[in-house]
Amino acid sequence: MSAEKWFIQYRLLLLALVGAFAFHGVLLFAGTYRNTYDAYVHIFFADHYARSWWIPWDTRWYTGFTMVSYPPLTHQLTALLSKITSLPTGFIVVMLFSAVVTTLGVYRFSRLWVAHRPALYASLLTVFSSSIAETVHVFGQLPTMFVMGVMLNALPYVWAWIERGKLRDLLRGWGLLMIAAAGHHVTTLFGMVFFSGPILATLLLLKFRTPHPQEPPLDDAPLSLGMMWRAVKRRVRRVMPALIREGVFGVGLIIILVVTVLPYWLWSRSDPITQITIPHASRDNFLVNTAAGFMFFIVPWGVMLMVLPYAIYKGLGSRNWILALSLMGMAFVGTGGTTPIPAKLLGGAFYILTLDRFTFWATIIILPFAGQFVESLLHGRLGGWIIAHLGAWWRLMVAGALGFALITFALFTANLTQFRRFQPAPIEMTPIVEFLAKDNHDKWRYLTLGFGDQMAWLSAQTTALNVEGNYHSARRLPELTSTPIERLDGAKFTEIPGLGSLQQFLTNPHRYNLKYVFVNDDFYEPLLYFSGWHRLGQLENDVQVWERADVPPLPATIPTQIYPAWQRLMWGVLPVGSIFITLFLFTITQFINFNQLLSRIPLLGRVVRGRLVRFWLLDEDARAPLPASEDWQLWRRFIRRLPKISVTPLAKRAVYGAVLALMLMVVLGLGVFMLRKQADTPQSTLLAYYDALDFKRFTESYTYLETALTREEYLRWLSLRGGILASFAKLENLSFLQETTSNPNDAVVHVSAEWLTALGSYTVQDRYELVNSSSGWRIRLDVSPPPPPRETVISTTAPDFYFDLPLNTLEETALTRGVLDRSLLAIGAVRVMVAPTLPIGFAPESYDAKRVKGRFEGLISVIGVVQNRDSYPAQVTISAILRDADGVRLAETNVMDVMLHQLLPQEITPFRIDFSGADAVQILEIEQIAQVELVVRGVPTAYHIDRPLVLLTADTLYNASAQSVDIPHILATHTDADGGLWWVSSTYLQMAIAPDDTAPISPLSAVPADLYALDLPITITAPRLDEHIPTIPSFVVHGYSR
Amino acid sequence: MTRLCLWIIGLLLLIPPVRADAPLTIVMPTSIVAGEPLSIIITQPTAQAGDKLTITLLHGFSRHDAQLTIGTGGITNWHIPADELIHAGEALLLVGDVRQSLTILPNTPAQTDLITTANSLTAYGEGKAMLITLVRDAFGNPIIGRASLNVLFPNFTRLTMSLPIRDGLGWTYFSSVGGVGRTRIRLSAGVGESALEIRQNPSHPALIELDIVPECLFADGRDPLQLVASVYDGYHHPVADGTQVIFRWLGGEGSALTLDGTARLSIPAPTRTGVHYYSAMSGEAQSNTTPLIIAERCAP
Repeated sequence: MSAEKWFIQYRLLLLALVGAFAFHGVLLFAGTYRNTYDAYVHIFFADHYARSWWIPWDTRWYTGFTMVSYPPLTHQLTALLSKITSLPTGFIVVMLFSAVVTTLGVYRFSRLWVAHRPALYASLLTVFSSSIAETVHVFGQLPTMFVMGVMLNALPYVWAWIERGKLRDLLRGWGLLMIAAAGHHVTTLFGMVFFSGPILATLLLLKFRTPHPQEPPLDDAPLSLGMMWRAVKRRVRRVMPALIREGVFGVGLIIILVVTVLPYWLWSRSDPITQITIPHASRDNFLVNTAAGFMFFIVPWGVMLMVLPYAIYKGLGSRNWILALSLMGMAFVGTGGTTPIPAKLLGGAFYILTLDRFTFWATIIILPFAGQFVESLLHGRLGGWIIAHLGAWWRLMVAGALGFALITFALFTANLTQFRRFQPAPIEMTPIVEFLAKDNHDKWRYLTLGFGDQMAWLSAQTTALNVEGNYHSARRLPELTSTPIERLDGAKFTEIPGLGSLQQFLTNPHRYNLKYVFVNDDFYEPLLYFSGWHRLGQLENDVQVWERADVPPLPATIPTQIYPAWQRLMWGVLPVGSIFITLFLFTITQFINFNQLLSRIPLLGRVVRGRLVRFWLLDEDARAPLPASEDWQLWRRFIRRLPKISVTPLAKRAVYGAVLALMLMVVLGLGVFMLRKQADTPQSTLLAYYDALDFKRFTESYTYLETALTREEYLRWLSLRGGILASFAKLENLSFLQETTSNPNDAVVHVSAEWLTALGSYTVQDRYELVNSSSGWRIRLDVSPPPPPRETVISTTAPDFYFDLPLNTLEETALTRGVLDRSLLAIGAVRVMVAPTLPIGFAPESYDAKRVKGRFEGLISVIGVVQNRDSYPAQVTISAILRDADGVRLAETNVMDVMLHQLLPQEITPFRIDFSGADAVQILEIEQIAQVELVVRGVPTAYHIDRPLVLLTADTLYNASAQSVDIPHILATHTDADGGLWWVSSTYLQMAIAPDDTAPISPLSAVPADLYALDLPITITAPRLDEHIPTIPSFVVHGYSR
Repeated sequence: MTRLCLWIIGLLLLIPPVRADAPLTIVMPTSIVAGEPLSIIITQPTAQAGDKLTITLLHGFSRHDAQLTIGTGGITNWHIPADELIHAGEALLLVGDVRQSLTILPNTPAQTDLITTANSLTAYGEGKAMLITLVRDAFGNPIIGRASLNVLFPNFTRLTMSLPIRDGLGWTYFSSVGGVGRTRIRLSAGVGESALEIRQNPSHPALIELDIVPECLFADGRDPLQLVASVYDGYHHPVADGTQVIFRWLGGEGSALTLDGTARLSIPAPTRTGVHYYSAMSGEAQSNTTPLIIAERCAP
């Protein structure tokens, strides 16, 4: 073929390849990957290989995790490219390559099912496929894209091998699938079922129907048993060669899958994943969770949703009906929990797999049919029908509108992260990296909060160790595997389970050598403060650094899993080597005809030349032209018998009218829907008001009010209402109850608002009066204007402390002196209490119930009082250990927030250590506990030594300091009849208290029902313990000031 | 038979003659101190001048190999320069099948670390802390021996003691002497010397004097009430800065921190006319109850 002819034939494919390169290249280099979910995770993995190619163990996440848990090829390629560019550029290049290869692969895959021109259109549609745009620019799933491209290019070789039996095709197909296996095992494994399954089945059907060249025609003798036997034999002879070739291919593929990533399979066998199911929105009911429906159904399908009925109709009516069935199956499974059928089909796998991948595969499989659709519209029957019935202009308009919609939707999808932020604003990591690198801060672990997926980008830039990570399959800490949360970093999005897990880590930082927390979300500040952490300051990038005193540094040697040399060699060589192996196979098969070569080899040649092998395995099965599809689709015969319904073509005017009416109905329907959504009702006004308050749009919230206050007065009134709910909470739920009123223009609505804070959730009941004014329903706010601000000077005096650590060298930073300097403490009134009705863990969902056992109710608490008997403030850490009769440790934890962690000289605080979470859940019987050990230790501190709050009267708090107290906290002790300590309760006030101002005390937390004491021996150990027994204070009040 | 005899004779001729080797002698000290040069003289009378001799010294995890040329009289010398053998412990010399051990002793003390379990102590003999010292030679080898400890208390009392050091570690308890001030501690061992200062702080609160300023207030709730507590230890020294003082009154309480022995708390005055009583406590000390008069008019 001349170059000119070749160009003419493939110009659309070239256009598609250039288009894919330009479209995705521009967006990727513009930085879309920064806002994706997974890009930074893959960059982190690549960073591992860039740093230590031969060691498949990374200590930077999860106290160490194995890299063999994820096939490495794409990460290793990125790592190699980073040596000449940078990690992000390497990622972009591999991703761009994947997108272009996928475009080529779609053409080649489509050619198996449709003619040349539809296949070209399919490749053009790939460029603006919204599912690919979403995978690349929203999800950042590099391995998925890479493997999809490679796999689509491998499948034509698989087809060719099974059809013709050329060893060249088999070797090339295996080579490409080896690359795919090294890129992502799940896509190769599951994807092959849905992609190669239709190929294998369709080829078998074709062979079944196609007479062999040597096959004599069946005589016209009447049907007999012998004739039937001959017919069966013929068909077996037709099918068997292909079947055997499929078997050869299948066995080879399994060997390739196993060998290429053998360390992965060995790991998954020896160390099965114990993580309980983490909810994923792709498993939700899309009609209920419409946001999930948008992300996992509307966006990936996009314009293709309109083509789906055509594809199913066209597919089922042709030889491609198995592919169409595969498409339908995947599309249906991709609807997640919208219907119960996918869960029943997939069984247990439903709760492990993320189902968006099925939708992604379906949107790829539909492309050959979509190419057919475009071809039909531009050159075929569909276009002809439109011209005949509506006119040529309409065909152009429909094609143009579809093209416009496709491109617009692809652009919208690719930029979705700009319109709708899934990640926090980009964080400049340099200040954090520098902080970790200096003064030996990397001798401890750190944690990020509110970073989103950017935490992986931070990890990629430092050798410091993070206590968690962004790849939950690699988790092994029970505190993480036993909770259904994706990341501690975004704990607030997983509500109580997420925060419960985060609390475990922040309460017991010494267990993980966790000393620093980088906070990019105010939400977590109260939890850190009341768990004994102190704020070191704010970095240049506005990220806050919090520190915990008295945490031991990391051991000199961090435990790592040493893999055998052969496994490390395999992992380092084979994945990247698969590319070279494939290149070699492509090259060698270009010059050598393996079928001929085999038959020339002595001995082997005799076998190959033998009829058995030639016929069953290697010979081409020349295929006769396919008969019309109707002949083998039995149902068509039935359909043909049905009376034909002939429709008289309508006049053009009528058609135009109908189309216009349809369009108008759609527009009107949308309008009504939007209007109903924004209907002016008391509830909708309250909903909008709360929404504005939740997202801190205070000026907007004023517009929903009917009040005598001016906007400035209202804003001032709001500013005086600080506190945990106003400043550190997230609105979780709202429910309304409307009273019946006599006046239709008045309404009284009771609102129950559920607020989530880092310290727990609050339900706040409010009663609102609303009035139907000229501008709609408005909330009546009848409060007196707040006093105008006046200049008032409030002065206080307080001692301050500075600890001059004897830093001889940076190597010695606080590693010796600071730890050794222990505060003198006194402890008393220690008791072990059990509250049988309080929850202590997250009861598993029904699908996890069988494999997760535990005791999820019955809180065990150790209570007491502790006093600082030293002459300087002390940071106090109290740990309780429960042991059985043999002294075996059953559970261990520190005090979370039910104590004052920093004590002034002579100050006394009650404390309560609650056993909850993974450890406590595993104590199936409370009777197992035979002894309790209490470890009390203190170190000097200069933080959090202000005590601004005064209990003015039994029900009033007064702020005696010069700073607003944002979250007042009251610890109250409850005693039994003998004056012994019985319980310690903790209450956070919801309102802030301004300087020199008072606030009423809300009801204090009650003593739990059925509380009883356990009579157990308690051992108290401390580095410096005073024998003095402190008195039990009735109340301790303190608070957090920002 | 003759053939057999000849064959046996031939076989015997092939076996090399047994030569009685003269014993190889090694002259070297049985012990040296870390960093000291080492000279080893090896004599092998049967060896010819120019012959090579391989010698190995195993020293901890390190291995020193040398190939020596034997001189006249079968004598050769291996000199290991100073600062090569620096780790204290046993070394083993291997020459062929001959083995000889060498002990490397720590050198003289050159580095000392001084650590306490408390940066400050309660004065008047009420405070006790542990002093820990780590003594090493110039190469980091722990020392066995004694170190000299000198403590100068705030009242100029001097304590001198010889601290036994075992495996580089020495420790002792010491109590505060005298009143509030700084205690200077100096430890010396060989050329190594460390110094440390520890604060001697006031003792626990023992006496609280509570003042209310003013003693009488209008009942309009506009004037602040200041509670001032002066807190002293048992030796009438103001307590340490930052000591918490709790003020109590009917139905309420508040706390303040001492600065130079005085804690102040400003709170809104009660509005109910009459006499209100206040008290202060810190540690085990408690003040007398002090009255405050809230009235429509206060006497000048």
